[in-house]
Amino acid sequence: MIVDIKAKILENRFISGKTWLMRLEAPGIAKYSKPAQFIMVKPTTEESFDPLLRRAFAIADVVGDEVVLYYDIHGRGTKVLSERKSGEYIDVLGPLGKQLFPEDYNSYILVGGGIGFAGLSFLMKYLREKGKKFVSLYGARTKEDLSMIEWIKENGFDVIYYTDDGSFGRKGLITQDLESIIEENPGSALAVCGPTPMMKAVAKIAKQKNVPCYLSLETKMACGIGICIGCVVKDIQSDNYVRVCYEGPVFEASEIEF
Amino acid sequence: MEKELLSYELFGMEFKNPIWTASGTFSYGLEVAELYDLSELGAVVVKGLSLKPRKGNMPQRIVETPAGMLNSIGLQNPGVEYFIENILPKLRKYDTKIIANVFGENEEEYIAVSEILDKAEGVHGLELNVSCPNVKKGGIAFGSDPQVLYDLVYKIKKVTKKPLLVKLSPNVTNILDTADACVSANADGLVLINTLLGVAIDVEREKPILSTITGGLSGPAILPIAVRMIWQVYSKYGSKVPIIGVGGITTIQDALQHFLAGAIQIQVGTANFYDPYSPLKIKECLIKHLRKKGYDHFTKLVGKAHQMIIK
Repeated sequence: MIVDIKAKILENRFISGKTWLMRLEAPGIAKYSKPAQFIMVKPTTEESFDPLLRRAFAIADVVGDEVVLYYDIHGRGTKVLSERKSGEYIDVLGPLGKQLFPEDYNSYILVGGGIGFAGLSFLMKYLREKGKKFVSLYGARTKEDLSMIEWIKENGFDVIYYTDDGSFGRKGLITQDLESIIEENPGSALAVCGPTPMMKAVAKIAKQKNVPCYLSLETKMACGIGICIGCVVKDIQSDNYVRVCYEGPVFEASEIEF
Repeated sequence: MEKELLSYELFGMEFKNPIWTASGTFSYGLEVAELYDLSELGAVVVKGLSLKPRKGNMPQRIVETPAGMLNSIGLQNPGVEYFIENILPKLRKYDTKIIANVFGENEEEYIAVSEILDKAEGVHGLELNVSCPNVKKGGIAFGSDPQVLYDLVYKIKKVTKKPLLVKLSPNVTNILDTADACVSANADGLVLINTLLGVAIDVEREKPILSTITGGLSGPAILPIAVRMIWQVYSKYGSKVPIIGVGGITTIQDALQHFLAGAIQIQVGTANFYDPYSPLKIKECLIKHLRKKGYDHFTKLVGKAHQMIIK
């Protein structure tokens, strides 16, 4: 069920790198959210229409009535969002996204790059609740960009970290050990969210190892509800463009061009 | 109360309220039907339909601009036959008017699509999108050459008994030239305005953002242009030619400007993207505004801003 609400901002603070954390009081959304779903947030106050569009953010966590977002400041919209204060109300529509991670695997390998990890963190909680086995990999350029470390520790998860510069965890790319991790965890499906080059690299390895690879995609969206037809990717079988917001956001890597 | 204030007979049918949703900003309505009852709307103008399915343009298709956005969707649609067989039966369950937006790559296609829609049960009217490039005329849009536009409208009028509206392109020197052509060819109404051509450039990558370079500008940024063009056409034709106002309507104040300039019905477009409930909010605010002003019907607003200056 999709709800359109004015959510109270409980917290909006800088974490590290480019990343901010926002906690919203949004019981209607919290209750129905599932991993890989997202919300559309209007960064500005009610009176302002510039920037015009809402921004899509993955639901990084749900705690009781609260929805937790981690977002990077990329442009005008996220800059304005970071200036919103606790206690203010903000327009939120969600939860959105229909095709989510399949639940029928016994074990999963989660691969999150940069802010994309916020597209997988809720899944970690969900899998733990369901008693499923999973391995989590989290990579970024530097330690500063591993902005969910605090959350991971608070929630008691084990994660393998990678940084390009070796400032935290293993030095190098998140894909460097992936083949052996796949071999060590037979029957697992990959759940991936991150920058496109990383997702392409992961999908390539998944194809070579013949394991299912589910990508949670993020593309430029105007509406998030399927009416602008802007956020498309190419579905290979039908050769048609499909909407990330409405037919996704999760797709099997071999089914789409991205 | 809503009916008393807002219903209006136009093109031989009753529109329960003057708030429509604009083509290309509402898909085929069914996605929004998951959020609210489409029967709340005066009309739904569906996304443009062509004879054959169209895949649309490569991403990136949209980009936000100051108080607006550019889009280059490329008229992605499943084709008119698919629409009639698979979408229309679900859509016509709602108590609203369904207006089909029509386009083609050439005159024959426009006519063929119009003929098919003329027979489709539950389609109450046609809206021609004439902003498409005319392949046979070197890619110049149908909507920018008055003679070509006259021929197109004249021929389509012959194949449909349903009301025929023409959505005019603002990318012309004088909107009255194309408006006149449509009126001469007996169009039943004019829809003012379609998007304005624009380009946005990524200054880091130093290249255009949209895959097609140009896109259509919409949103609050285009409001005064829409109001100006409605003003011009209403100044010439008054209430003789129904004007459906579209362009930049995000709030009740914007909608009121359209009415006061001469629009008899309005379409909410890009506002649906950031707030799919905005047509309903505008409708509620319109009722409040009419009560506040003491008007017994919304038509009291239509063209009213002209009264002060008519000699």
